[in-house]
Amino acid sequence: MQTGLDIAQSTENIITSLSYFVSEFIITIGFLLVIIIDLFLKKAERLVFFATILTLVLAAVAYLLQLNIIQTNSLLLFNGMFLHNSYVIGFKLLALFASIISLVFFNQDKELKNHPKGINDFYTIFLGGILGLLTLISSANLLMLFLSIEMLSIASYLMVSYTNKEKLQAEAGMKYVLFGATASAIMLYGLTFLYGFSGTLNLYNENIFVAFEQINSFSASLVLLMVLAGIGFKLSFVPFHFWTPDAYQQAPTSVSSFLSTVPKIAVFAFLFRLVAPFQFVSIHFSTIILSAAGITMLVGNVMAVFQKDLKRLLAYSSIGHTGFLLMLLVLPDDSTMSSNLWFYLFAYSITNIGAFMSIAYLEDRFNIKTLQQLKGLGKLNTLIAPCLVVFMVSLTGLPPTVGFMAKFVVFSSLISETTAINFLTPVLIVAVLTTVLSLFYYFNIPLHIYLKKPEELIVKKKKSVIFDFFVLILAILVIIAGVFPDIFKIF
Amino acid sequence: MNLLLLLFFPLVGALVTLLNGKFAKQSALISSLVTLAFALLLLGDFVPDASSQFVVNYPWIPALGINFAVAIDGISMPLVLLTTGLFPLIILSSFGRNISQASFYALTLFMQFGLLLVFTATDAFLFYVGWEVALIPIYFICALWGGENRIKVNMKFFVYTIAGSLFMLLGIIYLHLQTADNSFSIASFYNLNLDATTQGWLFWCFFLAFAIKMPIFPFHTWQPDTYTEAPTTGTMLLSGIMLKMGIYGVIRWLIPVTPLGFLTWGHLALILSIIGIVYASIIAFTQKDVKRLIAYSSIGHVGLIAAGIFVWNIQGLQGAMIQMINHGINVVGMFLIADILIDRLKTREIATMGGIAKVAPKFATAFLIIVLGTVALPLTNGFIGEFLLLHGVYQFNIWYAAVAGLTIIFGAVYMLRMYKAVMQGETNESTASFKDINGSEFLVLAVVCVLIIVIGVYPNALLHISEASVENLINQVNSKLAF
Repeated sequence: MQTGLDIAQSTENIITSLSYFVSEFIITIGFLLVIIIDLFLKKAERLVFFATILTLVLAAVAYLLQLNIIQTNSLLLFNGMFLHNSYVIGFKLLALFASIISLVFFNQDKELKNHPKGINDFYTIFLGGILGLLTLISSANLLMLFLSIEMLSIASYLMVSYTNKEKLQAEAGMKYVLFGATASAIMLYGLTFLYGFSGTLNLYNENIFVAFEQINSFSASLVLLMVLAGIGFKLSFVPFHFWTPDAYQQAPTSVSSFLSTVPKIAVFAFLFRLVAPFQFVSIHFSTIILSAAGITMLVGNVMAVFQKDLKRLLAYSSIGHTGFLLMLLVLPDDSTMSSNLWFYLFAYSITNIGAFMSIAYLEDRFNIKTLQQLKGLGKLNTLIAPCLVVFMVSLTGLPPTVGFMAKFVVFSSLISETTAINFLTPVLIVAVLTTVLSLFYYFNIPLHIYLKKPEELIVKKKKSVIFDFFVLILAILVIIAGVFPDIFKIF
Repeated sequence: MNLLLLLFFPLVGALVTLLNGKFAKQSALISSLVTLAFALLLLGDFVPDASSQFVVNYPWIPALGINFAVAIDGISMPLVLLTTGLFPLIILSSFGRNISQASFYALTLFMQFGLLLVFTATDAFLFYVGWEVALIPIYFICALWGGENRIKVNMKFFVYTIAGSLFMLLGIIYLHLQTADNSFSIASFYNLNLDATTQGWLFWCFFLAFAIKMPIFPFHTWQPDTYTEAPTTGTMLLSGIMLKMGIYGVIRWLIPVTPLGFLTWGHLALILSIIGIVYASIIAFTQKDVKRLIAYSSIGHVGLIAAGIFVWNIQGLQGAMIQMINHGINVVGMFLIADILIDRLKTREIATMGGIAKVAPKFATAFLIIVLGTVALPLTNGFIGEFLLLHGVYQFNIWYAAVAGLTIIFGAVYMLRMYKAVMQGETNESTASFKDINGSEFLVLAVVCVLIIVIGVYPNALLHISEASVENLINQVNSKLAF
């Protein structure tokens, strides 16, 4: 470490790495292009939208092409800054897929569209966030992790408070920023300790573990906890979840939908690479993760039962799902862990975006925001109501939906480890009990929809065909992926 | 004749019904009749030996070792017949009521799909899927078309059953991980040789799910409320067919998969079943509400069936097989009777009724036949079932049989007392204008009465179907217990 790498070798590494970085370049170009179009062309809303979507699709295609070239052997790019292998690409593709759906959702969101500045700036911010997200998934260096998380966070702060009109919304945005900044600072502090102990921030450098074995377990746990704080904030696991319900409720629905899915994909994709090596170093680590998982599931699901507002309900439900996903991180086998994570995140993403889309549609067309207002909806609208039922069944995790398959996969991979990992059995039981608990609030939604008496007259606005179409497609996807999960278990 | 056709036709029927809003009733009825015809065709090809027949086995999710594997043997066949046979009756009995929505009938048929999956699956994963698929529609049927307290009551029901079935899921996954060939097939599960402690845990995982569904005392608390609040169609589905899922689960999965667990805990399960019989019968005495009375009497009858299974001998098990059918037929008849009473008189209080036999003779006859079937009078269907069950329990322990036998006496007393209170005596204001049963009601009750008498006179046809399979199953389990 003292001498550093040879300059010529280092340059060569950078040059060979460039070819693996095509998608990131595409997004950077798209990002600049969107700014330029917005600056020089008036009324370019549609053009900007297509430019953004084209950027994302091209980036996805570039990844798909790379997927054919490399198989399983990992590559370290840019002198150990990024990791490149098929799992990383799998998660990146999933994130892009969810982003593309989110983009269509943004485009349909009236709240964003009616903004005086227009929606174009929003797309710019969005693309910047996506870039941070992709580098986060592949980062192999803890400094890169920090940079990526900051990129993603700043984009999300802006997206949440983009339509900042009311006091409550400003409050939610402020909470989000303050919490985020504090969490990042703590994480950075933790990273400095890590660097101090080991002299490297490279996750794939042996020194980092050697150093860890030498320090006492209390300091080791403290450092890891600090690093987890920054990550935990993005994942909103307990006790870093306080911003979530407010931000989700006050942000435009499309933004909440984005925040509850896409950043989670990225952070989990990174986290599993962080946890896998460290849990052998510090035996406390899996206990910390498991207790966080248990508490997160409990808090998310218990709080959700008391929610009246639909978006707040989904916010707590997403906290509950985070807890469920966290359990997976203690699996000893990397490939089962990542493939199960991928599938659960896929299931959760399509279901959750679908649910948020349905809610946005209801808000937009009938001005429905709370559970009570859902009454009588079943008679008025024939399409959105059954789709919402499908999403709720899937979020609960009952067959024949993808949510069930995802939960099934998680349970089956964890049950075989109960003897090997301390503390896993009680957390699994918590998982089962909270699933039962989640019935209370998920099934409240379809129940209210199909209750007979409409409490008040429902205002009708004009129909949005694109929304109808997307919600239906997602609902069908949820069922197809539930019945034939093999098609989607690519990674 | 393909089993897949039988399984998936209800799904097609549900879709057609949903899209066919105006003639939802009719298309649902036709669909259920066609499914019944398929089942009868299968029965025609069925050979009553111990083998699995009409086997269908496709890889479904190969990565996880899940197959779409279904088959029918002597234990499945009676239940398939019960399901397909009762559905037309249940659908027909809702014709005169104020439920004509397409979604209602579509849900009903969707449920039939789940039920048939449960009764034919030979893959544990598929069994679980069917188990849950059958649950979701009944939840909505009860929650949307039920009585005043339906939301609260239904949530209780739903949470109970899901909690039970999730533990079963954990059990299934655990068993799957133990199999040598990474499979969920029932044959691999039967071949496992786990130690007694593990089997004890697994026994409870499965038992909880099945005991809640049946329900066995003390897991029965959801049942009377749900039966009372659900629309009558829902109650018929729940009591006539759905609770047989639990009983079938015990016979097919619980005892053969965890024989050593059964050896340890089976006695406790038996005692719980017998407590349930006595407990439910005593409570049934005090009921003033028609539907609640039938609900409690059903707990008593199911307790006897469960006891017959947990003694694990051929008489008990054969009795359970035939009594499942009988109970299904009788309880559907009973609940239709109750529904007619409630629909005409707008009350569930037995005390406000009386003298109906004078104004509605056809109704009175049907009611009497069904009551006699329920109280197990010789030459009605209940007799042979309860006789075999008690015979089975008697072989195990004479005192248990004596206590369980009280159910027949108790049942006769409270059922006949209800009949007397409702049908005889003087008419009052509301009952004086009681209209006798009409078209669809008459048809359903007539079919029920004919079945009660035909099975009562000639039960051998049904017993013959299951005999070989039951004997085979008992030998299989006993050989594992012997080592």
